[in-house]
Amino acid sequence: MDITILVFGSLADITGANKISVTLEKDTASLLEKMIVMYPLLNNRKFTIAVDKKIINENTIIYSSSEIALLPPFSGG
Amino acid sequence: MEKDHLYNRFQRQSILPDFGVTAQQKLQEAKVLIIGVGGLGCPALQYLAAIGVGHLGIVDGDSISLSNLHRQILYGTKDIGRLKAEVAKEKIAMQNESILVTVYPQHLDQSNSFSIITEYDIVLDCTDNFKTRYIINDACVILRKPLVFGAAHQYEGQVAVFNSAPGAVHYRDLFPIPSKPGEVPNCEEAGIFNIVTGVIGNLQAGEAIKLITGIGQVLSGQLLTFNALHTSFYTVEISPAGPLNIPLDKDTFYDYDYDVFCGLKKHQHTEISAREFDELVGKGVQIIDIRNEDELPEVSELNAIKIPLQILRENIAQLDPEKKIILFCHSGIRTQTALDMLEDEFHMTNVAHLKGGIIKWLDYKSTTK
Repeated sequence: MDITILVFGSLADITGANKISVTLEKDTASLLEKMIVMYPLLNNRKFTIAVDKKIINENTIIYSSSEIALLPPFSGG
Repeated sequence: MEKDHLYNRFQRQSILPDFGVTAQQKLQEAKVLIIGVGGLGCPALQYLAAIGVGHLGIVDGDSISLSNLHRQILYGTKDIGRLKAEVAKEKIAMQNESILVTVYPQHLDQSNSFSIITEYDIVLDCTDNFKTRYIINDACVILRKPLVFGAAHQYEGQVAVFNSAPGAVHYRDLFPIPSKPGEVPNCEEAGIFNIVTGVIGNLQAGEAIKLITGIGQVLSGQLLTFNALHTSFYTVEISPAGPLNIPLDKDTFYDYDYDVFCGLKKHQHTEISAREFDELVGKGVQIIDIRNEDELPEVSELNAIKIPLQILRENIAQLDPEKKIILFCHSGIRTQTALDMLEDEFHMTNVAHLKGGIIKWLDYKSTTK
């Protein structure tokens, strides 16, 4: 089963699209681990993760219905 | 006459539901600081002036260049080379001469932030770099000033409202660890769609107006992202990030090294001389040998934990955050790489290294016996 991940800002340059589908993992930590294997450059970037439109600061259980967003800081003005 | 003039100027907004004379009065009495009058600051400033905010402060030390003009819509070709803050003030005076505009033609930094920010009710972060963003955030947290944050990247922009109530989340909850220099491209490197800064600057003005007048709902504790290519908004709720390495008062704020925090300057590593090291052994310090497994000489009397540099990152849990930690290698070179990593990636402050390495200490031992 797949899960949808929304990718914002310059992170989309790494993933190649701003909406990607990845096989569902049990939690955000294993999902992130898998994404870093798929897109190694993500490892060098700081970003925050939102699950169902709420930013998480610890490992969080995810479901196929969960909406994940990877949000990097923007610097420009 | 004067009153009629004012009535006419604001007539179209004063008849809005929930707005009226009270909201107009609150705007007239409000003091709003705009830090950065570039792509975000120009529209924010214009709309705050037009709606009748009584006192506006402008901080910007930059001069206008030709490549600014596509999005910094207060300026024209003939303004190139002049200070943005000065030109912005002139343009606002043309829009509405009765607005008080205070200009600070300088970059906001640690030394001037408190004296400037403290004069205002609300702050708009319209800057273009992370270091200034963290400085503004921290000063606003300490001074308890509501902060309307805006930022842009290519076809996307972000808006959030921080510190709108005591204990509310702020920029460090959103991004506790700053991006390294070069990690996030700026407008100069990545390009910027002018509509994005126009929309985001306007949204920032809108949040400030709502904070002042109390109408509507403020984007407090939320991060909104705008995508101009999809014409879509995406809003997420920000959660407190837990204990943060943030200065809590004016004194610690002044001592805080934002260059080191943002990776603009390398750490001054704490060096332990061979003599100091000899005195510290066995006195509650944790000693880490980062040489390779089979590297000689053996120094078993130090009771050092062996974690070769190559696997230090994976074995970070073995380092005791409660103790002073001294790393050593053969000659004190590899430990500098290790300290860079421990300080940059893990923000450890309790780490030092043996200057000159283990050979220096053995040398010292042999000369003192």
